[in-house]
Amino acid sequence: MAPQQRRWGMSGLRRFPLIFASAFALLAGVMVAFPGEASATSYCGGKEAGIWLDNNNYNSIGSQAGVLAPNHSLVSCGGSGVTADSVNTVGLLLTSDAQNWVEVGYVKYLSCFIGCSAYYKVFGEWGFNGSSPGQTYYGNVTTGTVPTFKAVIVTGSYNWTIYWDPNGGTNFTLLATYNNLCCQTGDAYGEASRSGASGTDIVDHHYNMYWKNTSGTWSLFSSLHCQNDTDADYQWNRVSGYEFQVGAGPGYC
Amino acid sequence: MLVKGTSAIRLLSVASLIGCMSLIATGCGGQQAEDRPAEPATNWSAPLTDGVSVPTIIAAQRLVSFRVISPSFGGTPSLIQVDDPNQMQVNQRSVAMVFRLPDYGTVDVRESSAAGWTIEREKQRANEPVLQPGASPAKAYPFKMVAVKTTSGLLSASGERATLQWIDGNTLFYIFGPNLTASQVEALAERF
Repeated sequence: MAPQQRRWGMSGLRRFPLIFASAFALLAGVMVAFPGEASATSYCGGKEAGIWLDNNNYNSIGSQAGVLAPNHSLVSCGGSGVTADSVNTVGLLLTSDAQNWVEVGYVKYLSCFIGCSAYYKVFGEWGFNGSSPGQTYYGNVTTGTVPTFKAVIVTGSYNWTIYWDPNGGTNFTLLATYNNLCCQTGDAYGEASRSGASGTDIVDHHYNMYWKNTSGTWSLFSSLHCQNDTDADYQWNRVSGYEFQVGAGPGYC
Repeated sequence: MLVKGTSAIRLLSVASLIGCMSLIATGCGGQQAEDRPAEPATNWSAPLTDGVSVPTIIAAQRLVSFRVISPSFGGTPSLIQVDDPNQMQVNQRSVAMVFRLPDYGTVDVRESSAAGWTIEREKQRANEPVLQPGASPAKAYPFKMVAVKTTSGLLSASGERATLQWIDGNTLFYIFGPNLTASQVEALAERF
């Protein structure tokens, strides 16, 4: 008993931090392990998404749009690290089986340890025959803004460049060049997706969606339509031939 | 008093241990969204976005400019698709076949024009640095050249999922699927 008494026999003042820390750790563990319920169903272990395409015949050499950075609701799937996300991008399908693509946009992450905090990141990404090196990050996005993103080929090559203008204009900054992708043309798209527990949303608004033809002319999308909608919790609304928004609602697009 | 106080503190300590354990446990099984690409998803059962279904390989052949070959997988495709002729020019269209094979699960085959592709370009892809500045260094180098029949092809092995493409005549062949390993796509390629 003596060693135990020495071990636990602290004064009340010395005990208080330990008690407080213990209670906090218990609360944090429970909160992270059992996140609160909200409207949309849980999608942990994968993602829900939808993309919007124009009927431009896979003759695009560029894609561009303004993408709203709203204040998403993100709910942890549990655990530590990045536990939920919401992604909005502009890109091109380079083959119609979605095994080859290039995109640029932003992702909002929920990162948890004892507590959780959210942050936005500009990222670019590409896929080649089903493989992707993952997202590469280039900066931060301010909540409530509508930055412009653009992906476009380097003429005469298989190299694709990605750009953004944080102010929503066309004063673009080159973010990266992705070399030797599969193809020289593709089908321009806008994408929104989420992963996370119940309540994580994919609120989105893509404005002024443009595609660039092989002659180098940028044109607004004219026949925007939805594809690959895996999300039953969100309503994908076609605002016009070149604009769509996503919000909570029933059914598929 | 000492015994009661000790019990209370022990209880809280156990509670804190449970709390921390719940963090650790869910951390082990939790989702790491940052590791998951945000790419457009492939529909393995009908892989061509906006594709149209056709009943036979012969019907598919009529809609494309390259030679279509049906692989000897020991069964007929459950679906044959061609890129929509109303949207894509004949030289841009591809053909997809979906197979359900006992030892492989879902197997997708895409055949398209090999225009723009050479073995040299495949080798260049295989040797191209994949990592971009700031990307996770843990991402494995996914591409390499492998022998395919009498030629060579570009194997892509990302995690546990593999794909394989190769050129034969004027056709680019591509095998992919939701759960195919590198050895499986290489074995399937030999059955063309």
